[in-house]
Amino acid sequence: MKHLLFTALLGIVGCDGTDSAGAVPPPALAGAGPMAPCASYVDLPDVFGYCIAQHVGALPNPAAMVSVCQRLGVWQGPCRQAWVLAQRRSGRISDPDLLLAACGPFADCAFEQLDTAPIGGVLAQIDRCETYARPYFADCAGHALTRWVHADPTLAEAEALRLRFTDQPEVLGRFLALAAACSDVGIRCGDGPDRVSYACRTAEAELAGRPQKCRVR
Amino acid sequence: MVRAPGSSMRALTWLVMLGCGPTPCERLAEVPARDTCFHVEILALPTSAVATVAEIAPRIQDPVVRNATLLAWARDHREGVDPAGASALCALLPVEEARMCERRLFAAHLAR
Repeated sequence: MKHLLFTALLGIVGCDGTDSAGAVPPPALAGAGPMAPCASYVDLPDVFGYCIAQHVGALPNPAAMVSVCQRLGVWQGPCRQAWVLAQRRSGRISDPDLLLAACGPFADCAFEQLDTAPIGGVLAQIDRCETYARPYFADCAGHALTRWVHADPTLAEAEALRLRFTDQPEVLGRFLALAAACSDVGIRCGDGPDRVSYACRTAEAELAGRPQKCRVR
Repeated sequence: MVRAPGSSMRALTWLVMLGCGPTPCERLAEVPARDTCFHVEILALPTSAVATVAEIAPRIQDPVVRNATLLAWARDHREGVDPAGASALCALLPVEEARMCERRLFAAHLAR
């Protein structure tokens, strides 16, 4: 039965490999193709899944990848992640939205993709963190804010973040303090009683004694 | 203290198996069979045995089996792994796999 699954996987790869210009010819994939070494592990599901993930990067397009990865059970996420990583590294597919979509519902894959290839400004990135990498939202958004602080933060973005990033006021307050200290576009903590302003003022006081504050990452 | 009949013998047997001689897996002559045996043995180990996992895994000769075994064990034991043991375990893997291993063992609080 398991050997049939492997044969079926190779067959699917062979069919899907035809719809991309310059793709590896189906016979090469089905015969001595990149998945062939995994046949010997078909009786050990974890080893088989890992092995396929090691070789899946050679598949030419998301459809071919999905048709293989979706049959691997708990290894589907690592399989998709391995394919996305391989495309990014090789440059074969560089569209970050396409690669993010290829992660499907797997947050590990999406978090790594978003962190490696941020899309749009800080607000767009935070929206994507929430949509695609929800379990890692705090880290994903924190990294986006770190990049923002050390790039060119604008006053408009700071104000938009106050409206958008409402569920973690202490985190936002700290980054606003950094942005205020490290840019000259008029970002201020504000003197209001709200939690963001308070956290910002607290962080601002802590940062005052740190000469390297704008290099903090 | 009252011991169940045979408990001393069982303990002695385990001591011989673990410390004083080759384990059942090591007695297997063929590499694929021995690797598979270690794979099964490791996946059966509990969270508290992370050090044992790190000790046995290098005996798996096929790197595909070894890496997959470590990642599978890390996946199944996200909660409550001793941090030092987890670090030692993840350090046995290549760079990309080590990162995945660390996310599994150290970022469990994020993935809930």
